[in-house]
Amino acid sequence: MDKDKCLIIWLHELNKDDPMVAGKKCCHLGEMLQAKLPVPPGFALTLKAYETFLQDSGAKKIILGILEKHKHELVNDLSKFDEISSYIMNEVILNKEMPAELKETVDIYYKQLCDTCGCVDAPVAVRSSGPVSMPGQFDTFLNIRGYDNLVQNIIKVWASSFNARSMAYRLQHNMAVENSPIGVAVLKMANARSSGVMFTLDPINGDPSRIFIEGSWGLGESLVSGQVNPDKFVLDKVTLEIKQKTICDKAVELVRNPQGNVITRDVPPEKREVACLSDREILELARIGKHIEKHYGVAQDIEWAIDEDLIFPHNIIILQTRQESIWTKKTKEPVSSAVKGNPTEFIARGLMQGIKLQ
Amino acid sequence: MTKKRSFSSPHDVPQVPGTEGWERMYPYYYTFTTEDKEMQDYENKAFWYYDGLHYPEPMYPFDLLWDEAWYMALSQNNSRIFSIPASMGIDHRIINGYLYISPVGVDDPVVIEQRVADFMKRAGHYYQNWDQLYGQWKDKVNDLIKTVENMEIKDLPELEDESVVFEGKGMSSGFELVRKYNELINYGLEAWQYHFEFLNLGYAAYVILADFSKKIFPGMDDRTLAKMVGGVDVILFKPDENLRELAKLAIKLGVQDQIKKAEKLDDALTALKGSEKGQQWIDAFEDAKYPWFFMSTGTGWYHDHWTWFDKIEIPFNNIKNYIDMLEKGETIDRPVEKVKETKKQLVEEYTALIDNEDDKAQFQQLLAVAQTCFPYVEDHNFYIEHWFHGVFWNKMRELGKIFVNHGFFNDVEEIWYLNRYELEQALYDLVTSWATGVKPRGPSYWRAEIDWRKDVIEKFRQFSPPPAVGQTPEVVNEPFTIMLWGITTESVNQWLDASSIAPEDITELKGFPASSGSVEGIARVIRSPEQLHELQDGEILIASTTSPSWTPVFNKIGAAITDVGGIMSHAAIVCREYGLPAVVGTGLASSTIKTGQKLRVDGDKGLITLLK
Repeated sequence: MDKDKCLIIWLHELNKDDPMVAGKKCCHLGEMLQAKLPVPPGFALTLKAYETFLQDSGAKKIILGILEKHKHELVNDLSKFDEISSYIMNEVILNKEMPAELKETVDIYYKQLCDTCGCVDAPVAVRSSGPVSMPGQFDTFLNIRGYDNLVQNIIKVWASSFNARSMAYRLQHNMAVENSPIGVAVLKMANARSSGVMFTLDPINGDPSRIFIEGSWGLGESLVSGQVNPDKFVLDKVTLEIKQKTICDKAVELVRNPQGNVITRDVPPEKREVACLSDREILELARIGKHIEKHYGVAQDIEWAIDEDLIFPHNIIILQTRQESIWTKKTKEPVSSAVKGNPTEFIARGLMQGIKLQ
Repeated sequence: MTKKRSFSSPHDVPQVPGTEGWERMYPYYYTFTTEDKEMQDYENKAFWYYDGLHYPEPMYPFDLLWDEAWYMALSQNNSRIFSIPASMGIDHRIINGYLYISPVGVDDPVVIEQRVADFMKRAGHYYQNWDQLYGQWKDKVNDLIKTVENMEIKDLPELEDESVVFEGKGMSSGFELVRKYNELINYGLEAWQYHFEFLNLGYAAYVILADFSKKIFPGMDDRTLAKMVGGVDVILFKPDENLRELAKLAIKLGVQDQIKKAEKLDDALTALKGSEKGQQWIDAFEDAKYPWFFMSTGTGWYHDHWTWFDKIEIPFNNIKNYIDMLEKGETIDRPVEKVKETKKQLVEEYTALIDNEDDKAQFQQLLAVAQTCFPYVEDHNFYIEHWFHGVFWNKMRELGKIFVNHGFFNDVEEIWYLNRYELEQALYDLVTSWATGVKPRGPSYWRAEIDWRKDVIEKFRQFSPPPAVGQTPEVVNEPFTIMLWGITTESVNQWLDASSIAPEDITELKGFPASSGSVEGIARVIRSPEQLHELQDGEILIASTTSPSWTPVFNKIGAAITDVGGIMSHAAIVCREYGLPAVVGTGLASSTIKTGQKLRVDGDKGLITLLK
């Protein structure tokens, strides 16, 4: 199969060498599926689909015109971004139709996904997937149900490649402002009882022998947006012993109302100070984290959820994983640099320095 | 700048009323100075902590011998033999009968640098030739123990044997007895010279490995590291293993009922003698004894830490207990395979987590050195504190009998109320009175003094020794202080905090997290091995310290807490092996917690919560 020519592709057909097919997130998800990790099933709209849409709908031409006209203003006045970005997104992109052929393919893939999940109009997450890592730049839309909504939200993700912060980012980093193809991942939504993040090292000190988990009730966005002080769990990565548990008072959670919209609601008082993960869930999650790190060969930053509709251990869902971005990129001063080779000398020097008491 | 916190001055600890003059029970160099200003100044600035790990009870004058032995032996190996760069020895004092110690550092950077060069040459030789030197050590120590075992301590004859005359010996039994006493004391000191031949280096290797590992894995705890370094075939487990084997053999031979029915070992032996199978078990029992029944019921540091040979019903009851467990279908074997597997997994996976190649190589080398050293660290206690001491205490009792025969003491066990110098004098008094035919001074002098000393030591028992006196140092370089006594910023601060709270107001105690896990249960404070049978299933064992002969009770307890000890203390080692939570080095647990109290023990945080 020539992946470069596809407009849509199943996530499990992608692997880590495919960031230019449908963006990094999609190829990660594909790789995770291939590694038998508990990732929700789904498909991806490729970079080529993005380009086909902008080209065929005529949007690309209009955008180029606008940017050419306002180029100098943009360089000199960053506040202009909001205005121009809003115009490109709302007036240009969101007004365009998805090309018919592409739209039909989305229909076929979505139907098949619904079949896999065993439901009609399966709720999906529509996530952006850039070919280079720019966390948080583009928009993601959750709990999208039904074919028409899906098509509209895919276009919304595409439009977000022209949101103000991503345009500003491209300009600041000398990237082409007018062109930023992104992929879109369409994934079955987990019905999240709890969700959070997991690092396969200790984010506080970089200790590679630790797994660090944060989580709270409901959907994960409350964590990202800092509405809730999450529970924290620290494990020994080698022995998978739980070393530390900090249970916080979690006052609110994000959940979906019957209409499928995400709302913030108060956590019932009896649940507020209860751990959002059971011990066996913590252990299973850590085991998966260890497996993911081993697969990628580098410490990972992982988003997870516990699906209320499923039974342990199948209820643990990995939403996303990427290389941990702080410690794995630091050049660490080797501890052994002072003395090499001879352990006796190392012991002598160590004893000389002593162990600090105060 | 943070204010430096201090403990009270060692000179300001109040006397226990009615014990005035206690200092004369011990050598003069054990008391805090009053006559020397310069010395007093040093004593006030030093950090003295109570060595409850070895001395949960006040010192008997004679038992101080082992303290004198290691006062010198540990210190000289740091200071004069291996040239540990920044530390000299460990100084000792006594306050109200309790032993306090203080690490002595080297301050001059030039001197430290010179010491590094010597250390590398000398310690390097030991690290590189460890196994061969340790082989030599075992031979030396075996010979020494055999020599003491073969010493004959005989009372003095009315008239010397004719052989003294006809063989032209030219010396008397009186002189020989004095000489034997001095030899015995010197053999004791010699045993402790060997005790420290490898120990300082073993601890140094571990301490530096731990420090290195924590720089790479800041969250790594000593429990994990100890599992990577610790041996599997540890000698201290061997005596207990023999008992398990004897239990299995009893069932295999079908003689278990005769053993279970017997109240005492002798009853069992009588019952078993009748049959071939029974005789087979008796033979196996006899074979299993030597030297393993020199296992002490305590740590071996005190004269009343009897060995299994002395208290034969203890191992016998353990055998019966194991038979019961086997009949109930329980496993009694140590989880040896699991320990080995865990060790292998930990070493492989932790090593793989180090991404810098130089660090990885250094970690592997330091780990290898520590692993080489560890069999010694784990095994030496059996040779010295259990076997040697077990033989030694009983030789002293033979001497005690002679004193009783000559009216010096009412009872053999009064010998421990004289220190080793006084005993030499008393013995000289005894032999000269024998020689002259004049009645000795000893009985009138010592009987009254011994009565007074018994009373003083009883009064000392009512005194709670403060965990530390003097000033806290900024850095500790002395390997034993860090590893064996577990002196850390946390422990020192905990002591400082606790000294300002009344014991009844304490709701939480912190100690060294020695073995993972968390459990709630009922406390059982154990003050002597005789009380061990009181422990009920699932109870939390609380003791000043535990000893290897307590190992069988770890099968039934829920967790262990000790006052004193670090990651390598006995309770810590056994709990890790049995997967029980343990908090050690709490300083205060056995004096604060009462039997029957409900507790939560968190072996990961080193936290004990006293529940209402």
